[in-house]
Order: sequence, then structure tokens, then C-alpha cells
Amino acid sequence: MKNNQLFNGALIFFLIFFGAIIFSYINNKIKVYKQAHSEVMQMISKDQHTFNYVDLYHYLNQENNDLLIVDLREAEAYAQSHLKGSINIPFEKVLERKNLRKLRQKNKPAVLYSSSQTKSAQALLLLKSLGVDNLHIIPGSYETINKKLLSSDYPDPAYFFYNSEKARWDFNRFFGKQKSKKQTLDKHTHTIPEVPDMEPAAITGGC
Amino acid sequence: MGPLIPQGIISGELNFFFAFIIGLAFGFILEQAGFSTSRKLAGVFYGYDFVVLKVFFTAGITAATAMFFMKYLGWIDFNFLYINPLYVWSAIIGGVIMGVGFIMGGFCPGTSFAAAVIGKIDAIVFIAGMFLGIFIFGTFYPTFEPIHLGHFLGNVFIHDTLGIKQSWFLFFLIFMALIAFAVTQKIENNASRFKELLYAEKVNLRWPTFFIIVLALTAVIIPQKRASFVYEPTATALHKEILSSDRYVKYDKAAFSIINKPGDMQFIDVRSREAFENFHLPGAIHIPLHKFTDKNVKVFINELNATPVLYANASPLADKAWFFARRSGIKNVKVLEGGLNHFFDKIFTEHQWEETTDIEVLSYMRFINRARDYFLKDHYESIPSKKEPHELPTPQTREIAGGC
Repeated sequence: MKNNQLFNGALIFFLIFFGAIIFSYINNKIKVYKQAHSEVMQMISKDQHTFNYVDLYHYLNQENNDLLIVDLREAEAYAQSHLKGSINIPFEKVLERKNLRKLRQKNKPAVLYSSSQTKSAQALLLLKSLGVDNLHIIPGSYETINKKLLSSDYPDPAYFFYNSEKARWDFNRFFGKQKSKKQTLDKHTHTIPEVPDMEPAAITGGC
Repeated sequence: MGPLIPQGIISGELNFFFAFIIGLAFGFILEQAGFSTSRKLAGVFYGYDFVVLKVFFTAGITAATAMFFMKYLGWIDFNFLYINPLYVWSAIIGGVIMGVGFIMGGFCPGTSFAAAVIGKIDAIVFIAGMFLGIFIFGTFYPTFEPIHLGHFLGNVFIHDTLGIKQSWFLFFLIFMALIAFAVTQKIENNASRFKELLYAEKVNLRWPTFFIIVLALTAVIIPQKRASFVYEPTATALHKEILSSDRYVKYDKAAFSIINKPGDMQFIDVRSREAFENFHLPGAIHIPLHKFTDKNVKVFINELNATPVLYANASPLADKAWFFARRSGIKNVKVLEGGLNHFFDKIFTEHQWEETTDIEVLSYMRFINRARDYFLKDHYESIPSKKEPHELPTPQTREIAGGC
């Protein structure tokens, strides 16, 4: 009787963990991350992952450059026009195995561009989480690149370091324009920051 | 319930309920294992009964194995756990005092309560002595302080100190436990005087031993690196979420919320500190992008009453923050579509309204004009905003103290 109970207890403990490990390996096919989110954050804050237009211009004018240019737009848009030497991987199909294999080529940096910088940035984060290293993005959309870099004979200097994240307005001009800027700044430095309730809860125990 | 409360899965009040249940179970098991008898406890030191060693070693390796595999499977995030810091002198002296008290009294603190409840007088005296000791320590704390806080080593792991992998440490621990069980069983069998007292029937430990050895070997064999946690959406699910535009809040919704329902949306500025101080939406909080992997950001956003809306100058930065928020397991985070640039484009540029009788277009037109006047004339200062803009406090770990 006692023997049976011990056997059952040990078997349950064993089955839970062994079953979970085996399940996690089956689950691996449904794309498990290779990098934790803090590691991805470190990667994107450490290295320069945006490609400026000057570098891109030089690369595009080189013969046999070591750069994998990836177009994330739909196949129809790609068929109409695309950057020289780029391959097409639609963002909807980026998680397919053959596409991931294309992106994972060793010693070959890849640059992404899309119909907007938002999409390419999201693709960058997702692919870095899945363990694709050596990825960069071209800031701006394909339309910006085409208009400012390729259509003219020489690139527009104002767009060398273009990034759609830059502020296009002096926001303070519109919000409460009677007040001077200095007053607003003073107000912030003199307010005492309100701390949300996050007191440590001590859970004590013992035997 | 260490990792469950900081992650917001259960509330802090429920903690007391679980403490009650776990306390009942603990007391039941102590009494059921015979730990309220000081003879049984003291048997370890006289070599006729090693049940204390067996029970606590078993508990230790069970917990260690469970922690290892739960971490491996992503069920537990070690960043959320509080690890007791090591003060070498207080650990050594405390251990000696505890051991001497154990031999003399025949109880350890927890079992003395179990024994006192069933009416043992020696246990009651033991508890009185314990309170006296606590009183003396508290009263003369300034004298003891240099010893109490002496030789601080911080939060150290034994496998780091030994310089081996966590999995190998677990393997050796299980190996050591099994050897200890075998040796103590031999000693018990030789102490024939008490033999008939101990076990009415012989217990076959073949299967539990086999299972724990297999688990120990598995721990060593499996690869160490896994980065998915149980609260994260899988890559496929996250990809789908990125493709759908459910996360976006339109500029007119945001403006409406600022003007009419200030408590409805909590705007979170993910830009740099200078940009935030130069300009921010009314009532906004500043959380820069790199903080989005901190655990206290997760706790903070989960405890908000309003819908959190992330914004930056344009979409990409806010969307990056959204990505990290989703991977930390924060749900219902929204992004201001197009960011501040789009917001200002739509509200402050002069529109060429065409003559129309469409009621929807007319009301939209009226709303945009009203919003422009509102923001230009500094009315937003009168918004009854409870939250002042602030930065998040420094990270805090919730302390989980315990032990036997």
C-alpha cells in the first residue's frame, strides 16, 4: 500500500516535468524565441541598426556588394519597382522556414525596407527575437528612398540621415502658446514626483 | 506566491489566503510525519532515526528540481524572485545557535509550534525561550549589529561560487542526497535497539530513485538556453498582432479623450527625457524605451486604471516600445497612430473644408475646429489631472523571506 503511494507520487512529479519538456520541444516548431526581450533591447541599444542613405547610396552603386537587401512589401508592389539587387519576402510570410533560412546567411548583413518604417522596425525586432543577427533597417518608406535617393542624379543632402522618427513640428507653438517655454520647464522641476503604490510586501515564513 | 503576485496574476490580498492554506498543509505534514515528538527529531544526533534529514533533503531536491525545470520551461522568471542576501557571520553563528537549541530542546522553531498545539509542555517552554531570545536580540541590537551585518557577500548562488553550471549542481545535489539516504538507512538498520519501532513494513524505494535519477540526467542533458516565458505570446501570435492594426488609437480619439474624458487614456511618452521636458501631451508619463524590459514598468502599467497609450514623434519608436511591452506580457497597450507628427498634422493644419451636408463630415469638422481652439487657448491646463508627469521609481524587489 505504502509502496504504491510512493510510486504514484514519484510518477506524477516525473510525468509533469518530462511531459512539459517534451511538449515544449514539439511547441518549438511554433516558433519559440531565441533571445529574451531584455537581450533584444540590449542589442538594439548597443549597435547601430539603422542604415543611413549615404551608405545605402554607396552600396547600391557598387558591383557585387556583400549586402542582402530585403523588400518586405507585397509581391505586387515589388513587381512594380524595387531597389536594385533586393529580394522579396512579404512581411506576412516572414516566419516561413525558407524565408528565415534566406535571412540567416552567414557573414552577410541584411537590410530591410518596407512601405513604412514602422513595419520594418517591427520586422527587425521580431527577427532579432528569433535569433537572426546582423540585421539593419533603412529608415523611411520605399517611397521616401525612391524619391530622395534614386530618382535624382545625386542624393538630396537634407535626407542623408533621414529618420521618420524626427519631430516635424515645434509642438510647443501650438499647445498653450501664450505661455513662455521657461515657465513650463520651471513647473516640472518644482513638482514633487508622485510615486505609485509599490511598497515591498514582506512574506515571512519559516519552520 | 512569489512570482504570481508581482506579475499581477493574483492580487496581493489573496496572498493571505494562500498563506493560510499552505500553513495548514505544513502543520499537517509536520504532525503527520511525527515531527512533534522531540525523540524523533533528536534521533538524527544519536544515530537511530534520520527521518528529519530524509524529509528535508527530499523537500530540498524536490524544490530544486521543480525550480530548475520551471525556469527551463519559462514558468518562473528568476528576475521576479527575491534571493536572500548572504551575511557570512550571522549565517554561521545563527546556524550554531540553531543546532545547539535543536539538540537541547529537541525542536526546531516550526515543529515546536506543532508540538505546542497538541499540548506538549516542553514545546511551550521552548517557544517562551524563543521569544526571550528575540527580545534580547532586539534590545541589544546595536551591540550585535556589526556581527549581524558582518562580511556581506550579496546575492550569491552556490553554483556560481563553485564555478559550475546550475544543472550540474542540481545533479550533484541529487547524487549527494541519494548517497545520504543510503548511508543513513544503513546506520538505522544497525541501531537494532529501535528497529521495530521505526517501520512496520519495508518500503521499496526503487521507482522514486529511478525517476529522480532520470530527472537529474535530463537536467544535465537538455540545452540551457531558452528565452520564451509563459506569459509571452508566441512569435506566430505576435506576428499576427503586428499585422492587425488593433493596437492603434487614432488622433481624433486621442484628442477627444484629452478634451472630454481626461481619465480615460493614460498617455505614456517613450521619447528621450529632453523631448519629454520640451513638450508632452497633458497628463503624460515619461517611460523611455529602454525601461520597457524592467519588471516594475510591467507592474506599473498593469495597475493603471486607464488605457495605456504609447506615443513618440512618429509611430516606429512607440511601436518598438509596444513590441517590448507585449513580450513582457502587458496586455491592452495601445499606440497613438502616426505619433505626435500625425496628430499635429491633422489638428493644426488649415483644412480646406468643402461645402457638404453629410452630417458625419460636418460633426467631424466641428470637432477638429473645437479641438484646435481648445489646445491653442491653453485650456488643457484646467484639466483635472490627478497624475503629475513623473518618472518611475527605482526597481524594488518584493521580499520573500523564509526557511526552516
